[in-house]
Amino acid sequence: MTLEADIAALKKLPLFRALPSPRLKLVALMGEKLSYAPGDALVESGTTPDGMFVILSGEVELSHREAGEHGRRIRLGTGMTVGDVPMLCGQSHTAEVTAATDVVALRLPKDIFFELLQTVPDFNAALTRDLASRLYKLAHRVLDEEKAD
Amino acid sequence: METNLFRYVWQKSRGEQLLVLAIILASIPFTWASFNVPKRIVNDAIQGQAFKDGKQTATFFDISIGLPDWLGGWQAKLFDGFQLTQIQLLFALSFWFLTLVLINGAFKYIVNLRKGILGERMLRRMRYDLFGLLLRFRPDEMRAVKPAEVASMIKDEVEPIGGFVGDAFIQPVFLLSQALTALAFIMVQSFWLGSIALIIVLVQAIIIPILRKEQLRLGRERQIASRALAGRIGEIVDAGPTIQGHGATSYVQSDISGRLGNLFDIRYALYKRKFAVKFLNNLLAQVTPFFFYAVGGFFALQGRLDIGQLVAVIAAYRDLPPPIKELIDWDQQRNDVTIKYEQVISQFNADDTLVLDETDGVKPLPAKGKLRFDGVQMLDNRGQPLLAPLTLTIERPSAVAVIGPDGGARDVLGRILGRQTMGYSGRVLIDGTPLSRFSVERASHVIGYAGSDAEIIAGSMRDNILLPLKRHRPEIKKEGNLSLEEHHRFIESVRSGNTPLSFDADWTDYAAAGVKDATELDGHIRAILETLGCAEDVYELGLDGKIPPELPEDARQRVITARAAVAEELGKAKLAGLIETFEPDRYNANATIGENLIFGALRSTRFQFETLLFEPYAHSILKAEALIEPLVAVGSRIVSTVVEIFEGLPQGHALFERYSFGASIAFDRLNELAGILAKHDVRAPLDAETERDLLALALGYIEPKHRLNLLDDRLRARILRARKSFRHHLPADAEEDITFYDPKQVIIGASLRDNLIFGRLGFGISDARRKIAKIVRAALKRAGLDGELYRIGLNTDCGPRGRYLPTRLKLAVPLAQALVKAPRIAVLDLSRYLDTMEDPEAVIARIRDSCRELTVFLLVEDDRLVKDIPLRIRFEGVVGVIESGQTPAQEPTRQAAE
Repeated sequence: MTLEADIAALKKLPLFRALPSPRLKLVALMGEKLSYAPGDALVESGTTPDGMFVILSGEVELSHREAGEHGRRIRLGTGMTVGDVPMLCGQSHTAEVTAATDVVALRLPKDIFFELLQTVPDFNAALTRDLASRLYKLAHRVLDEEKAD
Repeated sequence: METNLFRYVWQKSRGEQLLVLAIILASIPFTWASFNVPKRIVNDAIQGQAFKDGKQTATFFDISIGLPDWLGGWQAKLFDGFQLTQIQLLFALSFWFLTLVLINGAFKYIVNLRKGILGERMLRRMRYDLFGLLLRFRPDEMRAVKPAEVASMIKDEVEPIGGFVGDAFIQPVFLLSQALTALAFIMVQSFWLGSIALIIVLVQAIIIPILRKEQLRLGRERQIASRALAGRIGEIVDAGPTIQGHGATSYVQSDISGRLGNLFDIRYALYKRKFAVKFLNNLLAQVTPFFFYAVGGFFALQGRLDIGQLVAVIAAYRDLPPPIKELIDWDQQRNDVTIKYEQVISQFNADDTLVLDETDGVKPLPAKGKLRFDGVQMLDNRGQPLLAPLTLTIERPSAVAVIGPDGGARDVLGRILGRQTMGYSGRVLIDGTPLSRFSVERASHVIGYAGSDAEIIAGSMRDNILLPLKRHRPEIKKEGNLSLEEHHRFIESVRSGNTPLSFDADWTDYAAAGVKDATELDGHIRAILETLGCAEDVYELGLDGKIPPELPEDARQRVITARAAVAEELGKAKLAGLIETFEPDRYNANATIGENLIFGALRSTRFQFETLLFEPYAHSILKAEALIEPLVAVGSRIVSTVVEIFEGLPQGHALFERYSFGASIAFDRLNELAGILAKHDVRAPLDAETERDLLALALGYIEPKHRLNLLDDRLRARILRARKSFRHHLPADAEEDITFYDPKQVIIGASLRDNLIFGRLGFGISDARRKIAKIVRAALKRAGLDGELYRIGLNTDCGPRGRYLPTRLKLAVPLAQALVKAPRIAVLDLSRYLDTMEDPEAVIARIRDSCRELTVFLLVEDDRLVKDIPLRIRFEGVVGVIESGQTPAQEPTRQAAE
């Protein structure tokens, strides 16, 4: 796949929608494009995060080791990000992330992630916006659950 | 060290000085004779005074000894001499004069040579002594000295002192003997002329030193100013990157400019003085002949002086001013050098120095004992506490956790224990003996300290780790077995008061590490690195080590076997797709264009990509395959893309480096290239430099990595063709510059890893490196190359300040140093090292396990790591709180006092 295709894929993601084209290219170029077969682990729980993953295609599954087989599993699809939250707050991964289908992901290594945050304001703004919207959704859900109880 | 230069010199070189003085005394009669012979040549031979009374022959070379007239005039003839005619006498006397000239020359040569050697020996001794003093400094003082200043003192400033040492006693005696001989000779010829010469000499000797006083003061000022300049430059170089980063370069330049200006002013004033004195000196020296011609001529006309005497006086006078001038110079040098010496010595003579060695070997500390802190506290130079008073008794052996933030009181306590600082009050008692009274040697045996700011010295990693064991004095070989060269080296070292022990000898103290020989020691180092959990990193380092051309044949064979094993293993593990192997007929998509073209490892800079276009052979190949134009086009596309992406990023350079094309082309140059390309008229050719750089960029291009879609099948085919012809036509003189990839050959000059993988890792597969590393290690183990690999790893050059080592190993080196010598007390600052580890608890557990018999202080930041250590000192700020654990079995032995 060429850079153009990657950029087109990135452009579809809400996270990067507002990013100007040269910056988008930068993100695409700085990342490593990795492919996973179903069952491959992207992230193992308990490890220190060393990069952020953007799912370009396919689906991944989040699971907690402590919860065992019957624990709640969350599926994330194209356009979702993994690993940015623990990396930002300096914690280790709480969940295991495995590929549920064939997955193509863009991995932004830790140093580049922070470098981008510091030097590219557009990237910073896009990520903040994305985090805020996730937080909003989460709050909404918590409130809904409380109502349901 | 002796503060008086003359006393120092006399103490250390009395014998040699006396020998040279004796030679000088022996030379005086010959000097006198050389003054006397011209008189005889003029009077007896030329003017014929010896033949006055019709004598046909004159006596030559009669030797008699006798007493002067006023002592009775007793005489005894030893040799009657030869009877010669006037012509014969002239030649005989002339040749006698020539002989005397040669003899005097020989004396001068011997004296100068002896003096020079004497000076060099003293210089060597002085430098060695100063260096020795430096090593006796207390650690705090050692840290306070500016390295550049000390280096300049030991290297440059003592140099003139050393030169002077040879002259210190000899020169005045030698010169005075010359001057007095000449003066006495003139006096004997004519009292009046002698008096004139004496008066002028006295004027010279009195006035000139007075004038020179100012010169000396200026000289001293110059020394201080230039030393400060050297120190300042050293400081600035150390802080260079910071200064650049803050854009303070102009500010710093103005500082240097000011200092240079000050130095210039001093030197300018110095020159004015110097030449004024020189002028006066020359004037006085040349006024004297005026008196000689006028007064001497007058006496000669009156008949009170014969022509021979006059000629002899003038000839003798020629020899009078130089020694006087040199004597004055000597006096000035004496002043100068004495001041310099005192200056330098005062820098090195600290009031309170350490004792370096034990006189009769180090007594080992018993395995059990007590370690006591007695009100230990430390203040900084403003009186603020760095460590609040700490009192505590610890039974040895035991483990102590010292918890606190980096750079705080925790580190201060570590440094005190590690004897890195002695500016504390209170006492640290080891079995009742204060730590501060330990000699350097004993302390180094008892304590192993690993701080966070340890310096890595130049050399391999093994050299660094073994440094603490380099304390076994090598034995001096018996006289008979020494080669001539060794013998000479030995004698000279002893003569200069230097240590005769050779640096190249084996200094390793195997017994301290508990091993018998070098092989066992390797195992010992390995065990320590395994304890620290970084042995794997050494293997990694070994994998990156280049294969040297002198690799023995069997090792080569094993590398090839291991290569096959790696390929097989990869196939088994279904990881074959991870690596794209090098195949002579296929384009390797995961390698750069340049690598595909040259298809070999570069062993010199001849074919490096940056300048490949300018290499005649490569150029001809590229041209023949019509590759220049398409590759330049690829380069142009790269430039435009990269410039577009990074445009407007203030600090985009760090990111840019990530996206590098192998070639070291700076971002500014890329912008420049973009500018050139934008303005460029398509019809005209590009200039050679632009083409070279564009080609270099293209050669670093890897399609799956850079993803610019710049390669098509046609271009690949052409590159493959060029690969064939490049190899086929390679000139014989380039054989040492390149090793072509060949599945059945070792790639000399490439890393061991590349040799085993024999291909390139595919991009786009996660964790490829880690997965491969496991397989490679396993294959090496099976091929029996494990040890070799480990050795290559340990022999890796650390680079200046350990720059070539990965961070974890750089931090591991001081820890390994502290543990390798098996001290009784180990002080290990682990906090930064543990940050690099994935499983810090396991590291601490392993260290505790291997240090069961020692008292180990573990300096950490995170107290969760040391929760099972019963005795903990926790620092919040400067106050250490002692937490005594509740482990019942060990409770009675460990208690915190007060």
